[in-house]
Amino acid sequence: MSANSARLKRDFRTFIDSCSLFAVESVGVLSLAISFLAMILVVEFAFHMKLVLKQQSLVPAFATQMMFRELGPVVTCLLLGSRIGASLAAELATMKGTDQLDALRSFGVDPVRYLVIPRSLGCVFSTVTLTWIAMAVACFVSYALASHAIGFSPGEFKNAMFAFSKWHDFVGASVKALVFGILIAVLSSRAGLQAKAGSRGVGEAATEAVVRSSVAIILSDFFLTYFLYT
Amino acid sequence: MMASMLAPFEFLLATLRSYRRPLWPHGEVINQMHQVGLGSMITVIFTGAFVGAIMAVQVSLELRDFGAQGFLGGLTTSVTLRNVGPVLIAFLLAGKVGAYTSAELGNMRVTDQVEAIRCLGIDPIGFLIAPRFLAVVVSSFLLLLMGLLFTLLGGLAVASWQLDVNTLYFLREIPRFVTGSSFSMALVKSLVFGTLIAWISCYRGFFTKGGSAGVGAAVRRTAVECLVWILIADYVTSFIFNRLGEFFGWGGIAV
Repeated sequence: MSANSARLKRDFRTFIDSCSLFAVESVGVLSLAISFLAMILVVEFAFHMKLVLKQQSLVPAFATQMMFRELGPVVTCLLLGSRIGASLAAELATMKGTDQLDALRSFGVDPVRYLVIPRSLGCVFSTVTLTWIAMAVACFVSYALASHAIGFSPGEFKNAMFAFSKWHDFVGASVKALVFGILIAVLSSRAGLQAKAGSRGVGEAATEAVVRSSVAIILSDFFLTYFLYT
Repeated sequence: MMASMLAPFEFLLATLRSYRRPLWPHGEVINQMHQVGLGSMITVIFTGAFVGAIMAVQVSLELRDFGAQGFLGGLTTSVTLRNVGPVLIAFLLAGKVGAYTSAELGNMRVTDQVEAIRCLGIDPIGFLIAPRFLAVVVSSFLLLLMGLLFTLLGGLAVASWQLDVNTLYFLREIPRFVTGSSFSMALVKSLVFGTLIAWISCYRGFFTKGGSAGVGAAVRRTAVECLVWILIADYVTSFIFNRLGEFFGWGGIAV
């Protein structure tokens, strides 16, 4: 048992802890949000298809494609960006305010290596897996609700659902989630590490983390969409 | 359980009741709007433009397979205005405006400033919450409208530079799709989202507990709850508008 493997084991434990904090505790709230998003997409696409094509048979296909390509990863990561970003930044800022980072440094431990990297890996892991879960929930909810409440027959909805969405879209969504996860981790750790002391500093760091990661997600999403799909 | 579920409503009622007799210093609402709104303007403009651009690219990808690029202008603007635009910009405002307000109030709470105001015999809800609530509602509403205007410009820019759609054709298609009902839906959604952001952020900030870690938790809960309630409110508004549209026959089919 060398020092190196003990360190890896400790980092792995932090990684698992942060995954359970970030991912497991967000599953419920994320599923709720994504269910409503899936329903909105079906309702709105039904409206627009009536407008353009005068019929609704392709609504499930368009709604699923929009969910996979765009709103699934973006809304999931905006929600996780608020949740993960704020808690990561607040935790680091509290540590900084109570001089725990300096205490770590005085032991010769690099706080970035010790605190930030395992949590960031947990953040990236959470965004990618939760995006998959969110897309599955979205498919299920839009199928269940649209086929019962909005007047599609279940078989018709299921057949049309994956008419346009292929593996390419799934991979694209995963790439988006990966990039967003990295952005959330980097920006919120930076906001936390640069915080000022006191409760004001913690509040500011958490706000900064939420705002910066949301802006970064929306800006990078445009370029990702452009390079992945056109 | 019941009491904790009713607490946000009691808070809202107390806030609304305090408007009968304003307690805040002169110009406080304008001051708050200046702090909250002006700082968010650049961010909202950027986000709005990018949301419009993203939707233009997505809609053009969906239309391209059908050779229906002519619909791009109308469809992009309609989808963005009715649904995606207000939601995504409101998400951003939940962080920028909501989290800021809740961090400020939470900081006041954990440093006992709220108690100090109460000790002076002044109602902290009327003094602190009421002007902030009003300022956040008004500035979120105005910022959302500004963001929606910039979604149009962003979509237009991408369509004419990258997607080879004629600018005038793009603009000419908009009135055919974006009817009065879509436009009023955008207005109603902006107002509803602004109110939600103000309500949640004031409530979470005012009832912060537990030192500086508590401020972080208040910010996190504000941001997450705003996002979830915005999506729920979005669905409910869309649903009500579509049902009303079917009932009164202004579903907006003007093609």
